[in-house]
Amino acid sequence: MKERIRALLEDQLPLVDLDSDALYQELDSLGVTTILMTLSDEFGIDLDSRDATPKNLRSLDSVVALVERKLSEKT
Amino acid sequence: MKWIEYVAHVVERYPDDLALICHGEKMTYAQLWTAAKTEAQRLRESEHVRAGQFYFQSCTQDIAYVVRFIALHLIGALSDILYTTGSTGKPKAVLLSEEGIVANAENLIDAHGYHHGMVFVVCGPLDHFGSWSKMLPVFKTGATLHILDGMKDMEALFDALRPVHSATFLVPSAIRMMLQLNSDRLVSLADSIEFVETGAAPMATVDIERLRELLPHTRLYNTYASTETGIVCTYPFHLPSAEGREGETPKPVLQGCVGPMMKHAKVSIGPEGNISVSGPMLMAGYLNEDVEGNLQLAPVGEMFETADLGYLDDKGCLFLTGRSNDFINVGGLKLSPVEVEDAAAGFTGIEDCICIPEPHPLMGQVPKLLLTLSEGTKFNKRELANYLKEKLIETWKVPMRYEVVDEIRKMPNGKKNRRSYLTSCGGQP
Repeated sequence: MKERIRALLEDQLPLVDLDSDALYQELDSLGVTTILMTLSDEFGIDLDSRDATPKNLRSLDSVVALVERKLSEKT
Repeated sequence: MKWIEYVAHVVERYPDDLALICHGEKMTYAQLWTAAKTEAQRLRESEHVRAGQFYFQSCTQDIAYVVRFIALHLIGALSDILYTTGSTGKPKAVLLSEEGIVANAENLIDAHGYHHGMVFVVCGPLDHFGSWSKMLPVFKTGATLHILDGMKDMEALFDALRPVHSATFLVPSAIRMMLQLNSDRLVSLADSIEFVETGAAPMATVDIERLRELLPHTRLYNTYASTETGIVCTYPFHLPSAEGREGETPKPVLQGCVGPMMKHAKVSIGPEGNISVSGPMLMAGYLNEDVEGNLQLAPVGEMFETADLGYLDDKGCLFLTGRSNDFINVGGLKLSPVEVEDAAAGFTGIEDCICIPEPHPLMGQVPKLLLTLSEGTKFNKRELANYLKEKLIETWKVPMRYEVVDEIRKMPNGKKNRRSYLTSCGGQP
């Protein structure tokens, strides 16, 4: 799951260091929206601006956790 | 009458009303005026700023910038200087005139209905004319300016738009972000947002229709403006037609703005279709350095020919059809591909490159770099992107897409054949 998300986001956001523990700080509005839309489309989950918190987007691990949580809510 | 004199009247009339909200801080008109006068004194004493003197100030997204902006108007310095994208890849400094400041304020007030008691939310960069120009009508009418630091925190934008009589300017890509991710939140603001203005890039018809549906009581405007021309015309797309007559079929707005001229603006169309604009809202001119490094103003004259192409219909409404230069419109920000190519040329292993527009679902267009590599070079996209970020400073200028190709297409004279890529990549010719 983590590597799948990494590959998706690396392609969309070449400037962003996905290994950073301060991922949210690295993102601009386009980066945040791109992450939400890309993951929403790929995993069929509902993500909106309320999910774009510094906690949810702190690192790649926290993004993975967000997707897993949304997937479990879906089932 | 100067713009600052109108502001002085507002301060006298509404001293205790909110002038500014930014990063949790609030300032009334009386507080803003006092802070500006103090800053003006400091600028005169510490930096020897005088009336009629050119003064460059860094644009920051905060209260300090607004205070200094008003302070410089109190002094009468020539400080309303904004940078625009130059076709050679080098940004150009545009000086706005005092007359233009008043005319632009009046055009916006007249067309969009700014008024005392309204809260105007700015979330775009204040160094961009689209956002910067909103300070003019806001402080002339005694409205409140709420400055946000971009749209990264979209919740902050929704909160800012919650007061009744709120209004905002959003480029089409920002509107698309809201529609894609938060259409239900927009509905909850339907009774509070008085108007939304957009511009700077074409807006998709589907987004126009969706916005009309979600915000049925909100006035919606698409404006044609630039730093050089000022505010020229606006299209009220909440109405069924540009003229607003009930029962008429809505006009297509594929290229964004069309509309009747604002009261201070006149438009004419050249033989090649280029739009020329005249009126008091035009810039004073470009600032250039002479051989000794002194700043010189190259006055604009009575008319400014833009790189935009369009036509006027028999009712005097302006329709845009494209641009005559190669700029890439990245969510409303104009990028010269030459600037990117010049920066990329310094990266080890790149033999040749061309920067072209690529369609993007949010931004409309993003820059893509096609490159050829010298033999034996291994290409690393991330390294190049970071290198370009260092060179170009602003991240929106850094290409999102990269492709190694065998050759860069050239014309017989050896110049890069940009037009051939525009056709094949679906970019706007």
